[in-house]
Amino acid sequence: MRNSLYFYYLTLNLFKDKKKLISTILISSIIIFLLSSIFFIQDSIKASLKSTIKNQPDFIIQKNRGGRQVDLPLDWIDKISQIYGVTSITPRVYGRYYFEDKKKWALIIGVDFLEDISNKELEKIFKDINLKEFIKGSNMIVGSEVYSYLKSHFYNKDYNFLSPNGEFIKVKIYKVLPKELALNYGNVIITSLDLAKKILGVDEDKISDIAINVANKDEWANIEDKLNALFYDILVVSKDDIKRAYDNIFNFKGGIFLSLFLITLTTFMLILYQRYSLVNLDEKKEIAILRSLGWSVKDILKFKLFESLISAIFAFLIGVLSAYIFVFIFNAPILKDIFLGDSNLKNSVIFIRVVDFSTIATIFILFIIPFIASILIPVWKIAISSPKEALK
Amino acid sequence: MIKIKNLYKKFKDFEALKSINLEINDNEVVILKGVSGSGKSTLLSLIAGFDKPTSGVILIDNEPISKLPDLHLSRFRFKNIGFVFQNFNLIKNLTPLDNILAPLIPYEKSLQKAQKKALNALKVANIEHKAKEIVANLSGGEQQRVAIARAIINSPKYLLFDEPTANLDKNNSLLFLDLVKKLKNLNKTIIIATHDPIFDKLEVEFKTIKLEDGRVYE
Amino acid sequence: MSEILLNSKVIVYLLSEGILYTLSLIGFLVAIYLLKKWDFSSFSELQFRLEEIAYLIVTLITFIFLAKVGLIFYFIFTIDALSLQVPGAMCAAGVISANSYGLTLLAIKLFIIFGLLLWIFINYLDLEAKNYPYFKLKMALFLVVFLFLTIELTLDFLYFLNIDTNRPVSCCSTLYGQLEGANPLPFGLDIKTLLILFYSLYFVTIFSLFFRQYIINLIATALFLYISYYSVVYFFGTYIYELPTHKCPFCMFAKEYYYIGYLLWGTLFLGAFLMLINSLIALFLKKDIKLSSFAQLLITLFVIISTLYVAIYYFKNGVFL
Ligand SMILES: Nc1ncnc2c1ncn2[C@@H]1O[C@H](COP(=O)(O)OP(=O)(O)O)[C@@H](O)[C@H]1O
Ligand SMILES: [Mg+2]
Repeated sequence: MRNSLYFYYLTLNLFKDKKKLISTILISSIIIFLLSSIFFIQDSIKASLKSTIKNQPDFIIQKNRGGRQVDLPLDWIDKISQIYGVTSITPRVYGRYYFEDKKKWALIIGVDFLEDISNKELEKIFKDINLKEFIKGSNMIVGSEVYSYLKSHFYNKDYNFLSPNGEFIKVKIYKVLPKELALNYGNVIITSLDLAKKILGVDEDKISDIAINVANKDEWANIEDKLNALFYDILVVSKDDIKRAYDNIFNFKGGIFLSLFLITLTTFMLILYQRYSLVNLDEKKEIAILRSLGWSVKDILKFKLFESLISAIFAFLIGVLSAYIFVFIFNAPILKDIFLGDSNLKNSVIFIRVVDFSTIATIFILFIIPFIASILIPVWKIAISSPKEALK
Repeated sequence: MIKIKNLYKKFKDFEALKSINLEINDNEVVILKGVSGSGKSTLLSLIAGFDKPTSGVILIDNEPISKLPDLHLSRFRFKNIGFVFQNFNLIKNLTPLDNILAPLIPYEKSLQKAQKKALNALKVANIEHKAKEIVANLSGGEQQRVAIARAIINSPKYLLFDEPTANLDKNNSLLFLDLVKKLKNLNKTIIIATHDPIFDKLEVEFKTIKLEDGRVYE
Repeated sequence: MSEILLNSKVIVYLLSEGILYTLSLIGFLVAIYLLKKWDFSSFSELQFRLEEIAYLIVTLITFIFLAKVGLIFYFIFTIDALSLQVPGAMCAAGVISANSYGLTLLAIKLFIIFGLLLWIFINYLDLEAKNYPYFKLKMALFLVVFLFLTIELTLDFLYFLNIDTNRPVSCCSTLYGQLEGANPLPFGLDIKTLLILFYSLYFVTIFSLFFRQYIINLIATALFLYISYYSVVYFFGTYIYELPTHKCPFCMFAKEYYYIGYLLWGTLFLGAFLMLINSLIALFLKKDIKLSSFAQLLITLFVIISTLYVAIYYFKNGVFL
């Protein structure tokens, strides 16, 4: 490389017209930056969801009346436990709680600590908690978003919930979940099952829904049939259903972003085409001189394309790297709001770092093919500048 | 040897060259004389293959250069023809050394070898001492010598000059005449298009060809 | 609209194919114009201009070729990733058979790469000669390739539009596994004769070049390509997966197998294509483009890698599968 005449002359030429070089690299890297940020955020959210789904129970059983979910009786648990193949059953109580101003809400999840905790992510959360003490008192674990909301309303240690039948329930903030879990648990309040029932006004002998696990995946379809036969007004949601729903939502969101991006990309191609077509006389003359010195059209094409390719690769590296820093270190301000725009509480999501090769390859292809495609014809046009131009 | 047979060049309806027949032998010095607009530059550009004739044949060392495809014409030009432009056509913000590397880029791999060749050419053209200055800071005479160095870097057999003294003062013109002598002694075949009478002082044997309205009067 | 079309990789892929097709369409129009007006013996300004315009086609085709090579890998990569979205699919094999367009599309892709590569070498010969002897030939070849590019783009859209994410597809074990009694190999071959054919064709391919028997080489290389496909799927592949029942040409692209599929199929197809091009040009244009040793090297590499998988398995376990 250091003793290559070609490379030497390439760099010499590249830096000769700094203005053109910088402007090309600048617009290209902005495009790549936007593109990479979107992909990075999408991948990161997908990865978080994937780990959440992995921790989901295999089936959730809900009772439906008139298309609305209603609480179901506790004794269903016994009936379900008689179905052969069901490995675990967990009653669940949860619901939205609207804070005083009725604008913000949090999701209250009641957990039955005596039963197996079906959610493996929760299992991790409770590992270093003294369960007995937690259940005995009136305690809660809150997500980071909930916590910052409470703090901003001067509830630093505890909060007075107002139950549907008008009584105040004072609950102590026992622990705050780390920000890394904010995407899934930022907006969550975890309490014991009984406390959750009180706050949400669920009857003693009722629960919100039932989560069950079935170890043998081949049995899934079979079990779903049996459940539907057992109760008539029931909705069975399998893990696969949830997974596909999530996937589609995110592909859809990503798709919308991508189509927006395509418009930007078209603009980018037009700008590039213009930039490369707008050949000043000096440049044309320079090519003419080179041809008069013995360069063939082929040599010039090769040289000019190499030159562009180098700036493209530079721009690519700059764009991807700055997007990485933007998303994973600065946590993607502005873009995050667009992506998670409908979130309830103030966002405190932290993107977990996932960058895989396929994303980088996708970004590269999406950038480099339009890039080269739009400069090919203008570059050819300059390359055939006749050497007789040099005489003028 | 250059052989030109029945050469015509038309620009739209205007005939810039008419029925040119010429032979130029190896190691000959030819002064192409004629007033401005007589067709000297046009003839030179056809010989160098910058432009194509309307009809007729140009053979250089038996190669019909006006019918060569670009790839071969370029290689031929690189090997055999050095052209020095009236306005030198150097890249102003580079050094002479970097300027004269240009012809070698498609053909030479090693930077060191190329730089060695370049310094050698600068030496022949008597401008070695300014190798690393910026071209824009050089005088007209010096720039011309850089252009000559670039033309001879690959030691071509044929050297073509278009109005070489038009941008020089008398002193530099005389220096140029010396350089022509030196180049002829290096076995070059030299064609100089000019209307400057100073070339009568040239101290080497030369042939004069007169061009008038696109025709040759020998 | 199909959910598949919302997948960002699919969008990027289709967009790239669309851009490349636009370029090739420009090339096509220019090629028609050139063919109409080309007259090398003419001294007209127009003819000199045409020679310069011809460089546009060279530029376009070179770029399209490079991009197509990149995109065929990306295509496989994409459908492999789609196997998560299509129920029943475990790898690209299931996704590509999700409808009847997939395998045709893949075959056409390979054929186009072959055509473009052939074009590039004929163009090289054409430019190296001093009178453009193959100009009409290469333009005609490009028109043929363009026809295939058109079919390819149509299939691209038909294929991705018709992947149903609700209808389960078969996985590779059902697609390539032996049904009871049914022999999936061509000509009623068994594994033993398949392997004998594999190695003998390899030697014929290599040695026919030493004796400049180009017709034999052409036939042998084509057959070798065909037999290699079955040998890899039904024999060598099982050693890559270390499972006698796992027969699949696609799973080997996965990370678990160290992406060996890219290397294995890459060396086979590139080697065979270069070999075919070398012999075709030697036979019909009587020119040596000096590709034979590189092609031999690639094919040999392919045979060595395949054989090594078997050898290493035997060395480690003391038995064959
Ligand atoms: N590209 C061109 N288009 C039209 N006319 C031209 C062109 N180049 C040269 N000419 C004409 O041809 C004649 C000869 O020009 P030229 O060869 O430059 O003369 P000289 O070099 O002897 O001064 C002039 O009348 C000039 O106007
Ligand atoms: Mg002139």
